[in-house]
Amino acid sequence: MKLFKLTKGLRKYILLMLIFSIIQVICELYLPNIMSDIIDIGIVNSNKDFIINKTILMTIVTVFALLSNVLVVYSTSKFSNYYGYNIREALYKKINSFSKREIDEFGVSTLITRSTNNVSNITSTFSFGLKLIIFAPIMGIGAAVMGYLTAPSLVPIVVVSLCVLMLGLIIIFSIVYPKFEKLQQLLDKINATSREILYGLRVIKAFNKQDFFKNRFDKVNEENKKLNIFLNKIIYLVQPMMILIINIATIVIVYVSTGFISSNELEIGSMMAFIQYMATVLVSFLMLLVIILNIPRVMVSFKRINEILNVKPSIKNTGSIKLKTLESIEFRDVCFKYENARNLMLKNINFKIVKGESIGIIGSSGSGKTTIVNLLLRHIDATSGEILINGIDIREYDIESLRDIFAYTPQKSLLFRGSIRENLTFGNKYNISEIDEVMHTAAIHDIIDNNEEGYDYKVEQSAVNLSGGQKQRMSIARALLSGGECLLFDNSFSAVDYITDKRIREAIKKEYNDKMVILITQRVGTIKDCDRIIVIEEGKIEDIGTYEELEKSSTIFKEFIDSQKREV
Amino acid sequence: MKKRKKNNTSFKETFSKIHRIIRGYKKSFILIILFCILAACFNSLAPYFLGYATDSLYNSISNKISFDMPYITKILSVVLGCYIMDAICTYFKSYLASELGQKIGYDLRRKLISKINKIKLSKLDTIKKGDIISKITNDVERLTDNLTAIVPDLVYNISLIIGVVTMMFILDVTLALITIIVIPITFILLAYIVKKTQKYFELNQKALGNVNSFVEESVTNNDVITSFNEEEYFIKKFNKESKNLADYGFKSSFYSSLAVPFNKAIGNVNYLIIVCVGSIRVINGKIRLGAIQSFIQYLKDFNKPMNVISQVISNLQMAIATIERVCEVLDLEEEENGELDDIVFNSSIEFKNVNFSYVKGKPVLKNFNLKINKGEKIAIVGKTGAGKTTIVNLLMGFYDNYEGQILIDGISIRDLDKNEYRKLISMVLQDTWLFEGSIKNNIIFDKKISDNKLSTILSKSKILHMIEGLPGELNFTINEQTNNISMGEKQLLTIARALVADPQILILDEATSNVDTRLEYLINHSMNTLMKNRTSIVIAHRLSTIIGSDKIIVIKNGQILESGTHEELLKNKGYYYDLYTSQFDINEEG
Repeated sequence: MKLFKLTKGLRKYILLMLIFSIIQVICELYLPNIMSDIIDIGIVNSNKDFIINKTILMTIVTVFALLSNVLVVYSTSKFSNYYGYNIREALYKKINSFSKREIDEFGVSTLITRSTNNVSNITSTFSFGLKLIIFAPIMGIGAAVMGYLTAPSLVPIVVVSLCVLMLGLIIIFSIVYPKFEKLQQLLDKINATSREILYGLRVIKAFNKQDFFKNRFDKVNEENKKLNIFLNKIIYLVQPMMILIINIATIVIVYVSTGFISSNELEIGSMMAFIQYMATVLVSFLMLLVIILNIPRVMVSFKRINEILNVKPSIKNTGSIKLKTLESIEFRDVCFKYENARNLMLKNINFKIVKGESIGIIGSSGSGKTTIVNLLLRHIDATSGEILINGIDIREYDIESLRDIFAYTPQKSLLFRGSIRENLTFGNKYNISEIDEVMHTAAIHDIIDNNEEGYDYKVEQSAVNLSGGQKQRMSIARALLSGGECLLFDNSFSAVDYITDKRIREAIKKEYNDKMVILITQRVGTIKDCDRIIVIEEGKIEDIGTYEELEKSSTIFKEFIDSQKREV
Repeated sequence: MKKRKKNNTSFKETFSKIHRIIRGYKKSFILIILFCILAACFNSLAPYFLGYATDSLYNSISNKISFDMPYITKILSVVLGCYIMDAICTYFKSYLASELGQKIGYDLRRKLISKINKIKLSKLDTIKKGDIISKITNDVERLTDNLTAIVPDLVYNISLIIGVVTMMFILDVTLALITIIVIPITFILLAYIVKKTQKYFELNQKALGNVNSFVEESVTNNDVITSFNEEEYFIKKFNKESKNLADYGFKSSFYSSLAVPFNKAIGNVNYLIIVCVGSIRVINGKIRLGAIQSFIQYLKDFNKPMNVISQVISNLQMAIATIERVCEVLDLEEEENGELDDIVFNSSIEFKNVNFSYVKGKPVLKNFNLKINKGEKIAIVGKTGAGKTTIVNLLMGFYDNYEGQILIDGISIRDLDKNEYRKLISMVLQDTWLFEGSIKNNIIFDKKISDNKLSTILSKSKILHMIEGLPGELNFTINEQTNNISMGEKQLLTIARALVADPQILILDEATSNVDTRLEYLINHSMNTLMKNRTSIVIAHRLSTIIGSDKIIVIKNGQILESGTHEELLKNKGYYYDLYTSQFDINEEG
């Protein structure tokens, strides 16, 4: 249904197709009729003028047929390609609205194949199929009517042939249809396994496991080949069977006609015209069939696209309050559990942060630190308990205004293919001085100084031309530039050396001392200056306090200090 | 003239590319062609015989005698025989062709994957991965479909035209001549369309690759897009790419399918001329009426192949565009491999006057010299971007466009068989790459090793403990996104890989930066076991990891600034001293 809605603005092309298909059919069906006249009247009466007049008429009809045909082709191509565009847009918007949960549920590679391969499949099937699906029935019905008018006594032969044909098709269909979805899954698998190799090549080479991964890929590749060959074995029965039936019907018509002709019920010209009409009926049927054969494939594509479009995002933007300023953030008895997980990720988390405060959150990997960040940004919602912003439940806020409040640096520094400027500004307008400032604060301005292209320096896909530390610092600069009342750093200094780490934090402290700061880390040193530190262990808050307090009271914090002191 | 010449060479190139992809399938091609020709023969004989049945009817009516039923029945049985043979041959040509298409597609994907396995990493880092994936899946898929159709369609229809034309000449030379005049007209038309659309097909495929890359990036970076509320911006950018695809898609499909209506019109004109001229010739007594019927049937057979051929040509264009794209990958530079495969490491690894840059004019390593003796533990420290990881890349032979020499036991690694050479070395990187499959497979790949033995190896470190915490333990399946285990766990698994590989040389490049310091402290013991009796090269920010090294190398701007043991370097009060005290500050101050 949703996919039908996407034809909006393109439906006029369908109308065009319909009108001109009908004109084309009328023209083309008229031709055998004229021919029949030429033979039965012109030849029998030896009337050359009649023949020439009729020929001129045929010429005019032919020109009309051509013009209509071109217009049909034009509107089909327009419709299918821009329909593809609409679908892609809808898909992309939808995917952008997904939270982590939905993306994980689908998987990256299937989201990609669905929005490219499946859409292309629809486009290309439509570009040749749509024309036929409109044209063929009109042509078939028209030819049937003309056939009936020419020689009604021969019609039963055509009916019988059609029945035989239908039976054959139903059998073939029932074998083929269930296998098509499997075929799509295999294609996803091919995508996934080749992704694996492309992204892991460094490691694969280092461990000399090229053959292992080649074989892994090959297994899927082979399965795909075998299934395709199996399906083709059956599908390719259709066309010869079809033509054979048409041909046998032709022979039967000639044979049966002898009786009618000898009893003067039928003329030879009519028989010849009838054969052509019958062929047209069956060919129209064949055209329909070609499309029908493609329907399973397209249906699978539609289904897969629909699955995405129909997802109800687990996070809904139901809130209406616009969050403008940030006074406090409070977690009240917050628990979180991932679906299908065995244990709670967060257990009864309670804390409150107010404006101007800087908070450090420290814990081992997997202790639940990033989950807190995801809850704050509403990438996920708490399983139980409440998160209050300025004393009001987080779900009451308009999600966009909520996310604007945070200047967020993610754990994984994700950059985009494009210039440094685009990566920082996302096309928004900023003064160059503002950009320069955050680049200095994040200690990454050297990338601009050292490149002739400056801010136009191109970041490659996956930012392969930047080092881990550079990516992290770019990510920090991006967050600072985006503005926000709360600076949220999720393990953002792990790839930055200690000197730079210190430099950045000092600069931030100087420039942003009125903001709320939440620093998530594993490095004790990074949060030494924080007003309060929250220690998290296995999803529970172990202790909250200043560095000095925790040094005495928290065994876990002490272990962190000790483990890092041992570095000295 | 100049332009023409260019076209010729590009045609030759295209041809050699096609040849490269389809060679090795000669037998299948011959078989398919044989079936095509047979099917065409039977198909073109039938109407000829059928015309005699009509004649017999017409004569009987004209002469007012009863029909010669035995004669008609005989003719009709011959025609039926032709049709049945036609159907059988048609089935086999289509089936065999599709099988061939699948086999070629399968082989092509194999070739692509093994190519990627051999590709130079320096190349791989600069190309769009989404685009390559699209080539492996979408382009090959399309090529398979096209190949399945192109060859039989082309051969069958050309044979059919030849058969039909022959039969036409047998029937009536005048009408046959009128009919074949169409051929050059049609081909001029087709040539024009081909010229017009080839460009759009290429652009279309390229646009598809771009959309693919874009979606990939957006999906993986979804977190950032939503957190920064930049959905609109990315939708706008995406729509631009997607619009390109729609525009080129429209142009290529419209122009290429224009051939069909024009062909049909030409066919219709032909038809009406035959009817007109033929009828007059029948009145003049020049030909039989049955001959016109055969002719009209042949016209259909003549027209249809023309239509199909024009379709084939548009498919062929698509196939060529696809082949070009696939060949781009197949033509990527491969890693150069030395021949020496009897490799021993007994004394030392040495960097001798090595100069290297990723991008021309921006040197990363400058006249770099380093000697690592067997059994030594070397640590490399320096700021990000100083060239530490580059040393690893060069040592692993991932990049070989450097000046100077890297020697192992005095032999340049350029002369070595890289696969054999890399067996000496294991690396643990910051970038933890895992693949869909069990934990066990992720650690051992395809190495034959019993669970017990694996457990023993892993129990030396904290890793076994971590694995035992997961449901299914060693058989726990990591999902496609590899996000059902934590970063720290991932890192431990990559360390486990190195443990199992048991190499002579170990490289740890920021191997513990994803593991928190507490956990690191807990596994440091096993890291030390891992490094014992091995030559190891450690790159780390955390000084704890490097303090016990035999030699610490401090790198700045691609050169060695200072080197020595921890104590020596502290005494020097150089750069290392600064680095050390800054960390000391953080931990001890306050």
